[in-house]
Amino acid sequence: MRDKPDRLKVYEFLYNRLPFSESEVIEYEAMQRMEKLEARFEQYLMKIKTSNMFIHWHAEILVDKRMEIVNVLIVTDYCYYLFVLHDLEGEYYINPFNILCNMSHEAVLDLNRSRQLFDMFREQLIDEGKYQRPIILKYVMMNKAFRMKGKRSDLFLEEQNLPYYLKAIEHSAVIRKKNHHPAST
Amino acid sequence: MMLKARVPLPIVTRNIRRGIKCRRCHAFDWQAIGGSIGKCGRCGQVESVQRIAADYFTRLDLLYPGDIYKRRDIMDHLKLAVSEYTLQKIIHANFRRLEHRKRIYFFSP
Ligand SMILES: [Zn+2]
Repeated sequence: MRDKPDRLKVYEFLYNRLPFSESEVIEYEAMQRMEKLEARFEQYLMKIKTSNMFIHWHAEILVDKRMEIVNVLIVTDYCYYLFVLHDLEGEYYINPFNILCNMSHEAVLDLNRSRQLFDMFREQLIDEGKYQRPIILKYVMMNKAFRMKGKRSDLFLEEQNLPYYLKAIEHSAVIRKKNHHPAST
Repeated sequence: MMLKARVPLPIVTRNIRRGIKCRRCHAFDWQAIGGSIGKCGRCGQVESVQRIAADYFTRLDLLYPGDIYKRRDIMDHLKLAVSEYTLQKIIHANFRRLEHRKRIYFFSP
């Protein structure tokens, strides 16, 4: 069962009890949006069998002095899956510097940071013994109105493909259980 | 460890408005009806008194861990007209007496 982050609980508790600063309002609203996305992701997760998975919600990681959120971490005996949820809507493209931009050419998401995030996890999620489980990072675009123009990226997973993706994780977590590698998280 | 979410907000001021508010619309218009349930006067949300009181003190404890409460403080936080029986039930479910002292408690659900 997923639990809301404590920080969001505190924000909700304090709302109307004391004035929020501008930056607190921004953070509170962002956390509420994240909460909704995570709740929606959970709905998809509930449709698969998760008994062979370890699921960790809402990890906040400092990457180069800026906070990054990995909304869902799924660990199976064979793989680590990191999911970062976004609710971007409209049309986007990736510029030559690997930055996701909207059609007004404004930078929206620096995809280079995914590499840093990935590296941070790779340094920390080290398995004992010979077998190092691969780590897969996906940006899940949780808005059906999200469109990519031009070059696509394997980093993105669209919401309509999420059920199949999770089903595949479920499937691999089950069948591979036979030649057992102990899950340690 | 890195998978931990950040700690709660550092609240410097202790001047927060006390009292039960509605989970749904955040109004301070929540009233106990009968011993075990209560209702928001603005949006009509109905909840168990015990649950809403437990949530209140759980969150308060995130902000001010380790605080001690007199019986009077607990009543002042809730700002609810509840029976002695209901109040005792709330205290019993959420607090423990500090070193056997009378009417001084710490949060321990
Ligand atoms: Zn209400």
